[in-house]
Amino acid sequence: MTIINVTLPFGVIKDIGDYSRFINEILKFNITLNILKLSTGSNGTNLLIDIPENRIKSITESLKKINIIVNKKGRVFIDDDKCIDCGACISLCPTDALNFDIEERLNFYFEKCIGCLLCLDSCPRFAIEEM
Amino acid sequence: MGKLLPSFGNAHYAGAGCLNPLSNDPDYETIGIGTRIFLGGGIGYVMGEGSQHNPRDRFGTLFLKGDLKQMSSEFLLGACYEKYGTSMFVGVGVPIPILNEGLARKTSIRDEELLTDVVDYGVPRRERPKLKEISYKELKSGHIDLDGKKVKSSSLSSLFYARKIAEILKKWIESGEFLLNPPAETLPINTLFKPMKQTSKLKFVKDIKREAVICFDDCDLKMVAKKIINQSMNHIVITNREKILMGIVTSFDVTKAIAEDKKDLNKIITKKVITTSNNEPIDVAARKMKSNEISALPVVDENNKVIGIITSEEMM
Repeated sequence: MTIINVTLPFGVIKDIGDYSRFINEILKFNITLNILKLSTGSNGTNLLIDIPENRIKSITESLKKINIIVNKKGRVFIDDDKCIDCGACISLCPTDALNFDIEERLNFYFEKCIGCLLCLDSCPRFAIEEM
Repeated sequence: MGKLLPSFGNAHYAGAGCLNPLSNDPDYETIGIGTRIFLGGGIGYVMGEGSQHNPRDRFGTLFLKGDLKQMSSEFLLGACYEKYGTSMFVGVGVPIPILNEGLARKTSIRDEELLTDVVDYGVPRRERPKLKEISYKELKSGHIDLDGKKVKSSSLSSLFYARKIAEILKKWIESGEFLLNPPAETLPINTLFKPMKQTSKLKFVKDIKREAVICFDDCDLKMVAKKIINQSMNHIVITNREKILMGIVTSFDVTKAIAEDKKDLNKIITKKVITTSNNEPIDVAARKMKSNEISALPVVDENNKVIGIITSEEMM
């Protein structure tokens, strides 16, 4: 199972029918899914979904067709002035986007980040911010 | 401390491992009252042992004194852990002079020789179950192995800054601005840290659970009814062949099925079962029974495999 982050922009979901249309779009692949987190923010509704690894590509494509954003990049940024390279965020990242380099300094791989925001409140220095 | 994900989602460890001064001088031959140290960017002193000093378990702590005016904000930083509270990152460096062969050997300690316990913080009580013993090398590798599951691990203190402090202290000593001194009295190595004890012994589900009467999910109603009579149990746990919990059937369910002329076992099973685990205190299990108005809870392990049952009769 792998985690994907799905963003439903404002306007896409108007009533409960739209919501079930979106869920059916995933369920039609005949899989079981786990909704890990559902949150609403200024950019719409965010869902963190656990799906089988081999279906990611097809699910992503079919969701894109109904204007749903999957794994929007760069939802967090790290304030290097505040970060003290303690590593508290590293074990929370499901995609290894947060990592130590050989010098034990924190590295953030923008390309790997799926914007799940699990790391956000793990930072004792508040160095991770949502964009 | 540190954010933890459910069902062994991640692990945290504290300490710089082999760079920890107390691990390099485990018998406190050079550390004690009056030892001059690096503290937050300036010079500080060891006043004695800290409040939770527990040397017998190789868990020493220090009580330090420093001068805020000498410190820099690089090595003294505020921190706040979500749902834990405020804390502080303080940079500490302790010089260890190699006085004898023993100290030379002890300071050569490596991460693979430093062992610590993995503790399950999901269990809400003082004496949390210890899952296994593990080396800092495995912790620092980024993954630890827990019953075959690969669990991500990361630190809560900065190794980068630990190295930086060690380098600065080395420079200070070499240039002569920092003088090493022998402690007036070394730290105690044999005291025991005694936390507040629980006066009444806590009972757990594993202490009172009994063998569950199990039927496989492909057997018929008659078989279930027979088991209820033979074993005089009101609750029959339904599992698959691997003993994974599938549902529960009570004698009432069977009676009801006969009254309504239902024959299929699948239609009378309660599939949404409320369960308990070995390490749950019995008062928590009792509360589960009461709030859900049920009289038995199957005991399952992490993989949902049935390992017993507790009923309200045992609770009495």
